[in-house]
Amino acid sequence: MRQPSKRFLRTALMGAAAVLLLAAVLVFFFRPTHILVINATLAQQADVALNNDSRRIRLHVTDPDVFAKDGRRLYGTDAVVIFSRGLYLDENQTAALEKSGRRGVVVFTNTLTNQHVDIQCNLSDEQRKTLSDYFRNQSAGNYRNALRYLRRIATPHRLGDRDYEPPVLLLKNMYYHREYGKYFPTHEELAAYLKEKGLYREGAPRVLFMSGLSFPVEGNRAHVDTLISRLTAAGYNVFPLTAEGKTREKMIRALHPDAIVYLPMGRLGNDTFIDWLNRENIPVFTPFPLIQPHEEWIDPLRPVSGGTLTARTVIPEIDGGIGNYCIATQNESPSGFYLYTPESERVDSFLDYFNRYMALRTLPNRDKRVAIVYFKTPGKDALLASGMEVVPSLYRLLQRLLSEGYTVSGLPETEAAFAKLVHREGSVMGSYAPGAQAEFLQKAHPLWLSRGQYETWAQAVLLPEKYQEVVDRYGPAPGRLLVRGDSLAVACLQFGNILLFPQPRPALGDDEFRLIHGAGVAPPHSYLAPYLYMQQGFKADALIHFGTHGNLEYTPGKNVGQSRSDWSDVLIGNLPHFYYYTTGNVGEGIIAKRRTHAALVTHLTPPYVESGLRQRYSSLLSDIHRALDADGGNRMLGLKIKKETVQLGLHRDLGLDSSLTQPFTAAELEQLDCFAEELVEEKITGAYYTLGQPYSPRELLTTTLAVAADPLAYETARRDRDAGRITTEQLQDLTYLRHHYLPTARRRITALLQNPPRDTVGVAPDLRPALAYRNGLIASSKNELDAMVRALAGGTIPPAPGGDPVLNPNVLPTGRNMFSINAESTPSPQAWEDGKRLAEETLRRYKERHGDYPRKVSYTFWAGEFISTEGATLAQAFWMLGVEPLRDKQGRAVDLRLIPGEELGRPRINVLVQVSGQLRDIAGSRLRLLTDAVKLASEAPESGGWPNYVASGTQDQEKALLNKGLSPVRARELSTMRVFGPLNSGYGSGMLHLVENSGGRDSEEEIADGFLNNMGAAYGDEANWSAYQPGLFAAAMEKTDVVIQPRQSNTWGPLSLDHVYEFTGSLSLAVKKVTGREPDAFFADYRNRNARRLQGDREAVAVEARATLLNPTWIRERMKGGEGSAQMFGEMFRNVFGWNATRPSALDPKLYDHLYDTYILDENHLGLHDYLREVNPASFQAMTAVLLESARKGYWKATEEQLQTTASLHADVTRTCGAACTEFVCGNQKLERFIADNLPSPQRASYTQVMVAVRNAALSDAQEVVLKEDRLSDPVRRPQLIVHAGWVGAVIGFSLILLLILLLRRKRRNR
Amino acid sequence: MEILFALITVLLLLSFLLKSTFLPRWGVGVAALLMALTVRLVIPFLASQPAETVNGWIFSPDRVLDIAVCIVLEALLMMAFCFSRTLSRFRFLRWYPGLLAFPAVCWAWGQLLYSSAGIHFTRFAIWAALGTLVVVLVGSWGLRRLLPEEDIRLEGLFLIQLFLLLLTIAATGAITF
Repeated sequence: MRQPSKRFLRTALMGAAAVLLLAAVLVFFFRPTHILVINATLAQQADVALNNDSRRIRLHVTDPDVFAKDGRRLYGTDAVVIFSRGLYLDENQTAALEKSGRRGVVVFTNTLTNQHVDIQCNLSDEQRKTLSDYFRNQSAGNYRNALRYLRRIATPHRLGDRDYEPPVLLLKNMYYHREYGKYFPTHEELAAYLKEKGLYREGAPRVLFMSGLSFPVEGNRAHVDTLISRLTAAGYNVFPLTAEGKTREKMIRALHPDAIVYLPMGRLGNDTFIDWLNRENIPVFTPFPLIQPHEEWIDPLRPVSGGTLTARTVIPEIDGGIGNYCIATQNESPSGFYLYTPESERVDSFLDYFNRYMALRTLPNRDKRVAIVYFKTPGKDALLASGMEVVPSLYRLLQRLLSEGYTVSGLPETEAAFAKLVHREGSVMGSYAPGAQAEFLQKAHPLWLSRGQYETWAQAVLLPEKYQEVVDRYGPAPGRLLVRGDSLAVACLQFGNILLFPQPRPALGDDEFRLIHGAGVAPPHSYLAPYLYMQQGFKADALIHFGTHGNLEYTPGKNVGQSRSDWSDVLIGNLPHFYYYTTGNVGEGIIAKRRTHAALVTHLTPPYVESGLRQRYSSLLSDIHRALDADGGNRMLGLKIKKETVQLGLHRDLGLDSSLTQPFTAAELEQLDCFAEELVEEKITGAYYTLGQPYSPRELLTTTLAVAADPLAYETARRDRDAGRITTEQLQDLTYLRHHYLPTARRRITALLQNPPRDTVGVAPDLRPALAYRNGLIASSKNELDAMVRALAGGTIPPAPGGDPVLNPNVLPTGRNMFSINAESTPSPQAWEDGKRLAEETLRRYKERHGDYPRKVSYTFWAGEFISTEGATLAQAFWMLGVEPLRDKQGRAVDLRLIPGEELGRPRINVLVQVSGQLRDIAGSRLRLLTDAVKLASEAPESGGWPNYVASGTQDQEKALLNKGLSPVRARELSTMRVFGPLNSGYGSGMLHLVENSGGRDSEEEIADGFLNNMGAAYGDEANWSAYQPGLFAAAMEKTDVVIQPRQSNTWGPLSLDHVYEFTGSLSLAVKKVTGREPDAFFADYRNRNARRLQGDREAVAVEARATLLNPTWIRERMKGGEGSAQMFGEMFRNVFGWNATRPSALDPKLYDHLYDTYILDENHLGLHDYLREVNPASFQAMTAVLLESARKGYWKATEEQLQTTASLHADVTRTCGAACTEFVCGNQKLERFIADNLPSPQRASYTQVMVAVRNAALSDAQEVVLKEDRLSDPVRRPQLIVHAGWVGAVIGFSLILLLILLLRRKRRNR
Repeated sequence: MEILFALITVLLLLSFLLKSTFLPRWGVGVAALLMALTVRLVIPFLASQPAETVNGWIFSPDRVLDIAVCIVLEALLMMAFCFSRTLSRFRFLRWYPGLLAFPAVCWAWGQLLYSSAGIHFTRFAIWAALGTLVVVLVGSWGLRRLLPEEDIRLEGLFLIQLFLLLLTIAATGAITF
């Protein structure tokens, strides 16, 4: 082979060198300038990138997380632009940037307030200022020129595209419109511009439009432009404004718009400004763009949470915002950047809502058509609303509307006649009582909808696929309930332009089970019909839901930002929607507001009344105090106390012995003292409240005392503590305060209120709050109706916090629109301190009782408690884990610190959390933070000599999941899941139905199984949000020793609210099934905001039972009310049943006997039977049915006489008043047989006849709900078998090997 | 069935070890490394699969039959090697250590993984691989020391194949009946 000549080599080398040189020159002069943008929002990224018109500038964007993992992004970068808002850089990231700066890279930080991040490299002051001007004055031109400017200063030697224009300084506060570059310092100048453009209409309403501080960015604002255009086209004069702080307020006041449309980002103004808006009757509408793509928005299992929820929903609620529609999403464009995309259907819906709301301002009252939906249990029971007498309240509202000029023709002259009409015409039917349905169709005058008419409306309102869901489940219209031929009956009443109808059942038969178990079940035709009629037939101008609460807001779907796929949105239509809601229930009120676009109008709770127990227990208390003073030196007194205690049965409530020969110890006496004091001071509510009817003078006094006395006592004690007269321990001792400060506080307030002054001059400063509360209560009843009238006139409803007045007097006056709290700031500092204290108290009590720490504590998180206490129960859970939340500068809890074992001074305790759907919706980010805390605690080593039950619990959970057949990776992922709630992002546990449908289940174990299934969805992290894994909840439940239930309301207790046994009782039952042991149960009692404490479940139940159900004073107070108040008796009896089914240890075994004596024998001669027969026989039937079912189930060991008396009474009421056909009464054939078996012959026949007629035996397929459960079969435990097989195999294998070796060695020897 | 499978696994491993004693030392090293690498790569996959899925697949009737066929074939190859002194055409089988031991050892480690909670998966995979390497190296060396005579080792190998065939027949019989 010929060798290449030297000449050739030389030429090749020179050629290569030339190429390299050329390449170097090209790179040096012509390489694009690479600019890296860090931490811009998606919208900003798009804006910056899409305004880059130079091919010699390459823009790269990254967020801090990616930047942290991939520092190589800095290599090859010529300039870096950092958007510092909300940014935190760690040491490595900062070092990498500074290192780049030393290499000559230009680094510019666009910072406003972030003091942590302000890295500037290779920039002179002038250059920095220029760049600041570009990026802070956000316009298309400025972005374009900023990039070119950066190219010029970062790569000055590179050729091409180096020209730029200086920054255009925009006005900081200005009006704008759709045309870029046109900005106006005053609204007059904008108006002149609009007139010039032909966009201004004289006399048309003025709408102020605001879209946060980042607008008007020129580019990524399609949704802004859409709204401006659509509002203008609808006939409004639109004034888009961007402004901050005081100037914003000034400019809005100067404009004095008729309405504000605000795409929320922060508060619109301070409280004073919001008050001004309400005084001037300027409603604020707050539709919002979502920083999520369309697919995520549509997905009902992806809630809006965290900072987005806070910014777009929570904050606007504090400003009283309404119309919180999601009108845009953010989607990836072909260029790869994210652009705002208007959701056209939602924009249409919002505009429709806005137009309708504004139309209410001009439409004469006489022409306004208003639909009112009320709530009722099936059958003949009362109209329902928490704490409110619905019928008289409805009547008052209608009367008020009549006086305001509404057309309310045909309204009966008397309330009694109105009540009769409502019960006859406006019933709710259960599918289990076909006979009752037939009776209704015969005697009432329902509205009949033909199938064709109904289907036409359904097609107009519903998405085709949603209607198809209904048809697939229930068959074609008209369905199965209240039908005749091809027509569907709608129970309703119409008085002129006012339509009243009861909210129907959201599911039928077996589907009721599925719906309340969280399955996404479509509602039946009978549910849709009245809502469709309201929208399309009646053509309502406004809608009111009346009272707490309905079920539409609990149909499955998104928590916020609904679409037309959500039933709770589409059935409301775009009507202005108002919801009368008790101020005592803020948690559920917020859900109703968000999911049905409602503006709430709060109403008062029932008045607080004296329990009347002081007299009964005063001598006992006096004796106890004397005995404590004697310090055990008076044995006779001690025995007297014991005897009286045993006679009253108090020893059972406290778990004390009943030996009459041995006095109580000092500790037991203190316990008894505390208990008796609590009974005496227990706040009980009287008869249900009627809207618009002020409290009586006595009720006003007792309620004001309830609200004001405790805080006054505490304040006085605190001053004494500060002055050294008492200790901090005494200040924190509720019993001490009740003894020494409360009586004086009550006397002072009573003296003041018996002769209330006109003003506060001359009133002691510490008494002024009591006057204010009184005035607030007085103002409330008028305010509630005024607020609704104003709302129906398109006006504002001022915002207010929620909660009962005792817990939070700032809720007064009522008649306002409740808001929630910023979940990101929870637990608040105060809640943190309370949570720590209560957690330690839990551990102390448990250790005292059991001699060791618990391994796991379970918490229930409820929305109402979360809002009222700002996360105190959440704080308890954190403290148990030994993890502390860390706050940023804005007070948000954003990070976690593991508390070292030495500092904690005890084991890390594992936790399990069950959440209501409502809490999940409003505080999803907190659940994720809690799961992060579990992960952190799981990884913590044991230290300080204390075990780590979180770590061992995580390992146990992983093992359990492995045994269930999960992959190791999946088992690991789920091993830290501790937060569980309803399936499919639903709201119901299904337990109430399961418990009360006792005829359909054979044992309580079914309740436990149902609970494990229905509440077994994990809500721990994004990846597993709403994930359901069979066996996971049970695995997480292992080793649970304690269950904690929060209570914060002074209007309900464990016997008066069914959700308490639903959660605590059911969880306790499930724990017992899983662990074999019933856990201890406590209430975290937040009712007194100055004295938050822990109370045992049995004690809490006993207090309520003695203060209410068994208290003649309370019964007499309730008897002053109507059917609503009477309904509560039946409800409380059902709750007693519920506790017996789930956690009987919480009840006094004698409770049923006491109920029998009080209600069946009427031993206090209160005239109960006559009252109940007259006012609410359905409730009476429910009460007797519950007692009899309890006996049938064995909860109540009734004597034969008790059974016969009760059965006879039940049969007599059924015969004389008709079967009520609530579920307990008509839905349980086994109970019916049991009742019949305990009746004498003549009564048996007549009773049976009535029940058969109601049920109509021919339609046997619509009888009692058959409970179907998904039976979860345990997978074959193969891994364990194989391990065992492995050991066996190994042993046999080794034996074989040994045998082999022996054989071969023997052979060798023989050889 | 699980017990039979475990037994077969042990015998396959033993067969592999015994067979490896006929390799040169560097061959044993290579075989050990390959097996360790296989374990390291397979364990993360096994960690992402439920035990039920893996074992369900293995113990399905079709799969058992397939495995049985493979075992029989390999056993025949091993037996043929045992006669390679006299039948030179089978001498090339010296380089065949037995492939079925690879999935067998992975399955064995997998079962340990499925019964252990709280372990670090990557670390487990690394330690399992190291353990496999050590066991193969030490096992092979140990057998060479214990049974230095080649013919005795050949005889042992033959006996193991017989056991394997018997167990395989038993396994196929178990799924049939």
